[in-house]
Amino acid sequence: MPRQDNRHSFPLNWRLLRHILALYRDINLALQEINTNATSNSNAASIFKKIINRLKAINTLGDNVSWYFFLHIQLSLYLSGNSIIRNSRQLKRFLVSVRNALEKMIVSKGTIRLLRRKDVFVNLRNPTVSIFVPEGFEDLIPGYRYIPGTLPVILTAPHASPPQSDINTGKLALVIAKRTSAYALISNLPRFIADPNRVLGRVWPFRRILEQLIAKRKIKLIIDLHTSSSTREHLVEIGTWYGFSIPKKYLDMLMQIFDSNDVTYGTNSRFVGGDITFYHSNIPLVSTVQLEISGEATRRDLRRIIRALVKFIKKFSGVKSYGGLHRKS
Amino acid sequence: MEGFIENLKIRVGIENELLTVNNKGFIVPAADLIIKEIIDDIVNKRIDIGFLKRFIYGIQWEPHPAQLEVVTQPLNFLLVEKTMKLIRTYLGEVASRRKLMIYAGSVHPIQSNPFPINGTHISISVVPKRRKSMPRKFLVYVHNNVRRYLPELIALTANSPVMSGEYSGYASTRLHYSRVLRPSRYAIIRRSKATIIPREKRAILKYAFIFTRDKRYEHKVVADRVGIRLLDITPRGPYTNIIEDYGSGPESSRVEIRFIDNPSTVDYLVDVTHILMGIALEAIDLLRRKQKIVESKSLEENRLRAIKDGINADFITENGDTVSARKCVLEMIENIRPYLDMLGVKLQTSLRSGVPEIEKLGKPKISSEHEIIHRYLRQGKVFLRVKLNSSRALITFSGNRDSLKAKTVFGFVFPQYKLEWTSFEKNIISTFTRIHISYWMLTNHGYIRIHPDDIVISAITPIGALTKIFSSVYKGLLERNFS
Repeated sequence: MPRQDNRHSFPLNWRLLRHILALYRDINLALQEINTNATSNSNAASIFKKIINRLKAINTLGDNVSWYFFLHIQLSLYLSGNSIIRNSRQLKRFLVSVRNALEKMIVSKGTIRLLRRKDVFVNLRNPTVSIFVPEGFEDLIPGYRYIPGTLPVILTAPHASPPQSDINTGKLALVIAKRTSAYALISNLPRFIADPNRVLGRVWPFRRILEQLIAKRKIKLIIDLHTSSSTREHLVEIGTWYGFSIPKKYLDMLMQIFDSNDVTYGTNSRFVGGDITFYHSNIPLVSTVQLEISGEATRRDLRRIIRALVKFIKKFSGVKSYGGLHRKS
Repeated sequence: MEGFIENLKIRVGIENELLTVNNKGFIVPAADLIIKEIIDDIVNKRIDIGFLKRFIYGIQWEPHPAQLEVVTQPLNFLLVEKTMKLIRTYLGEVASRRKLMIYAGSVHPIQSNPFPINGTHISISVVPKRRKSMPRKFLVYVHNNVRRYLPELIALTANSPVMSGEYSGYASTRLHYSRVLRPSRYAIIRRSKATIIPREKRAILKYAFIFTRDKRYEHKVVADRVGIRLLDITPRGPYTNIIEDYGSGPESSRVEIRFIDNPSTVDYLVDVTHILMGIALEAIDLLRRKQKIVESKSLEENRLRAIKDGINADFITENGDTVSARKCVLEMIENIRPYLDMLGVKLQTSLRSGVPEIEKLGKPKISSEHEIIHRYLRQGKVFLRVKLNSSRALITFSGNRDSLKAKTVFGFVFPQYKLEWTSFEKNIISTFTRIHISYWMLTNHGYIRIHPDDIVISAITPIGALTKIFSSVYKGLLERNFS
């Protein structure tokens, strides 16, 4: 008989939070040590020993804690194992990713409440029912359209396929990708079969290819495109997980470009971002932003949005246009 | 005895919660899509709204985006079957237009925690012909009599043994895990001083002086001192202390029964309704004969036993002996049979012989392709090193198939569920019959199908995997410098 599931238990208790804070401190120390003292590894080794002991202590706190870590740390880090760390640069990148995941856990008072939204909430006690695929999974692979690019920006349209599709997001991603040479990823599967913007969707090819591009350091910004079905006050709702998924300077840049192109916008009002925005953001390595475009946007509105996003992508990538040719500044 | 029923009006209202699922049987958040279709039908006059309004109060969405609630008007008991068949057929038809289905059960066998759990709420009102509403004493008696049979009724209707892809160990998983359904108490009529601050405001004003009016009293039916309505049985209406019912009209007085697991077919639903009507009439007869309904000492214990073991439970009697739940259920059916005869009602399903639906239709069969992996995943060990016993395809993320020789592979293992079901109504899943679990491994290069004869070499939790990475870095730091 399975053990009793205590649905009221919540993994972020004070004991765990204390461990996470200490882990965060140690990883920062390790990063400092690697940055400053490249010749001797003894200090760094002692910090790593502490981190290992800390992780072992956390592992004894219960199954759900382990699963909680799984939710926040990139799956590709686990899958690559130690093969991704061959030099100090790769080590730094790994530590920064883990630090970012810990930051997400620490500030998750707000974010976890949103993770617990009924349609995205994962059962922390029982991983097998949280991430699964339906029968006929292999016939649904790949389930996306991929447009390769040259700029470190990707436009994603996870709900582009009907029924209940986010209208225009697929076309928008295509047009902008074409004009900017950014990457684009457009889902071909209806969200009723697989929703790539949910925790459940993390194992689907749409999310895996996205994570692979990030791991290959081809992507620094993800623009996740959605459409809201109902009337909204603004033309675009910007979701950044309360400013967590993108540095302020890039958000300011985006807002400034929207202002100059007469695109009205609101930030983090209702659409703070889905799982793509939450999971793939890895500041300072990868920024993510969700744009929820009003379902009532006219063609003229869409043209303004396209113009603004093209400008933003180019500015973000440091590209200047000279007679239609893209050159890096 | 024969005459008393002629002076009573009996009304039944049903709230039936349903789930929207895709054609593979998995929950999809499509309740608003179904509602949009219905609105389209109304606007384009494809359905006669005037006709439907006579029977159906509404089709509402619930907090979960995959949940729909069908609510009937207070109906004559003869119309329950017709109404429920009408609405379920219609919903099935609307869902099929969007290539969706409706699941009629209480708990989805896979997506059940923390996903929604459904129930059927049956409201019963018994009103004397000369009056407009159910009197307070009727409310108390009907409530207490249904409560008296609570363990028997749970044993008879418990219908959700599977949760999260495995047997939960409970006949009614829904009742065991429900966060909102608390046990109700013995109902009484409480005389208390009326206050200036209206009852519904008292919940808002946490700190307030309550100025009582002298010589003004109110009589309220109280089954829960706080006035919570989310109990397994609740007397409802303005004569009760339920805060939400403060402003409702007296005609809304009723006893709401919320502990019933969703019956998978309309026939079972109708029979459960008839049994509850029989119990309500028995209560009124006891009141007429001025007999008290005595509270059982072991009610709480028997309730828990019924939730756990259903019809196979052993109940504790007043003497402390044990008696089988099935025997108690048959006794209950015998007790109410005269009242059902008076109504001209006969139980049509296996419930008449004390056989619950779950026994008649059977539990879903669960089979796993790889028992060891199944066990590891339950322990949270999701990163596995597996020795493949034969060569097979590695399906890349772009859909290409690369050949993979028999070797050891490491990755994240997740299940693939295949669901089979029975439908007694078109496009409505009545009950799931089989759950088959197979496994996939996700590596950094693609997906590998795990076969039953593959050997698991090691299994590790996410923190364990992270610790391993840090350990290897630590070893690297000791042995050589990272350049």
